[in-house]
Amino acid sequence: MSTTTSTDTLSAHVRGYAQAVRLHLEDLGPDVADDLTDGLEADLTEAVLDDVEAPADAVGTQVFDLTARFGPADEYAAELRAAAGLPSAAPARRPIPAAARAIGEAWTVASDRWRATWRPLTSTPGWAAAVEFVRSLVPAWWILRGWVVAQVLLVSFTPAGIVLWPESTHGRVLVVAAIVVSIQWGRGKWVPRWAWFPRVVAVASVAAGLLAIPMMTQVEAGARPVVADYYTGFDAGWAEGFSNAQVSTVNAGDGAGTDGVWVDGVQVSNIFAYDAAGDPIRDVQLFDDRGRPIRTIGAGATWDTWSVPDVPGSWSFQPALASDGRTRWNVYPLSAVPADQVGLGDDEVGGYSEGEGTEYPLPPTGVQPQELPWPFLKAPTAIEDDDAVAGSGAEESDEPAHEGLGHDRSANDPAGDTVRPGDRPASGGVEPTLEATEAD
Amino acid sequence: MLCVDTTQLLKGVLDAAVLAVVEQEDGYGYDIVRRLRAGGVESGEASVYGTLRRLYASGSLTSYVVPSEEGPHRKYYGITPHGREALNSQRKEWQEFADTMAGLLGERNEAAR
Repeated sequence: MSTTTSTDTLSAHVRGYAQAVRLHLEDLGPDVADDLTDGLEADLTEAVLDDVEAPADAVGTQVFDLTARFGPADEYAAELRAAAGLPSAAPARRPIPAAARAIGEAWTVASDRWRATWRPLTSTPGWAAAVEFVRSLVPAWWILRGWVVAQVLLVSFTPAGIVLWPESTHGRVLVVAAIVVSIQWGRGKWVPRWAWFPRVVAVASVAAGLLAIPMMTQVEAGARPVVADYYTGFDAGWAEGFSNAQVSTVNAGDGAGTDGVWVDGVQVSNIFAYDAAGDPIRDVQLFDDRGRPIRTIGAGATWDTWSVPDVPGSWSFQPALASDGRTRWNVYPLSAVPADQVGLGDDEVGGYSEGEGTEYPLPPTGVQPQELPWPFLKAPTAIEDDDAVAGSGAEESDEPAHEGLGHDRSANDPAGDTVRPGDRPASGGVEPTLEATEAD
Repeated sequence: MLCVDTTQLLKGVLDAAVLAVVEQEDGYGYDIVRRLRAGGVESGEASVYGTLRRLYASGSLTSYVVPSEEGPHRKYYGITPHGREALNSQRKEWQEFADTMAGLLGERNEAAR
């Protein structure tokens, strides 16, 4: 052959073809496969050169499709092993050809095209720098991966919640061990030599990556003391905590611990105030030390329904209305309407559809918000009647603002369907408590 | 030209053909393919290589490596006494088979006329 280039190319093609044949003999084990294909390259080359009577040029062009000359590599391998009296390839490997090959080719084409599309970007030095930067973060990913795996194990097999650093010793040991193993695997150490192992690690890593984000969110929520209470509640007794939660809330929702008022890990739906003498006070406006209104029903939870102690059914709380018509959710106790009357129950009686755009579920005309039962007729403790402390409270207890939650409807006495202890002093029509404090 | 596929028929025939070719002179894989072709037997190359390997494994052939001046080394095959025995018995069987077939086909041909 006059041109070494074409013979070089030929030998490259021959090596490729021989390699493909060997691939199809892989299941026989390396010894048998090598024995069967020993000298295959030489034989193939010679066969090709034998076919080409014409010199170099022809070698360069027509003959290089070895598949056309020798047939597909898998058929060649099958013929080889059949003639050698060896078992044909395992049936599991056989069905690969048509569909899988088409998918594989389509994938190759698609990924090539994808790479080509982004080449203008990926070929820039900035991209290389970015890739290098991301690559330098890989150890951090190893740590996160170990942490996620440890959390999954802890949550699955112990009553622990997802926290950044577990409180229990075994939890801490597990987290450290998982992180160390994850790092070592990332560095290619401590890796078992099972054939399936890398695949399992790959799948588990992807799963860990997907889990990492929601778990981090959980940790953020868990950083608030509320959930810590819930966590210790487990220690105190899971059943008790569960039943408490059942009584007090119908839907604590996903935002548990992020909004509202909580007592002992249980969300508060309504607040009842008593004065120094132990008598109930209505229309109490509550603010925290920063002047923010204290809302049990968060801005995003106004459509939630609640179950309350001693009264069956679920209830939808109603805000007080200020004199300018704005809603006030920090005026207690809150009144409520049965959830099914505002279209949140089983049958849609109320104006659910028209109310959907409103801030909270408006009761249909004729349905009055009800006052819910007070926990005590009179507070169990009376505060010593010091003038400085009890002065204003005593005044209010003289005139408890009964139905005056700011609703115009309160003019109609809802005493008939109001659920409350019967023998409390009830004098209607005291509205002005709200108007006095319309400052904010 | 006798064109043989990878069929049941091939196995017996190709074994005998390969043994016969190697008996004449030792050879390597493609060399044997070439000589089979020259003798009128067109067979898949892979079938020949597989057959060589099987005959070697069964002890009918021996093999040795000859370094090549250009390119890779060559694995040559030579016949063993056991291979010679096998070839002789196959020759005999083939002769009987061919006679039977000739007689049978000849009769049929006459009957067809």
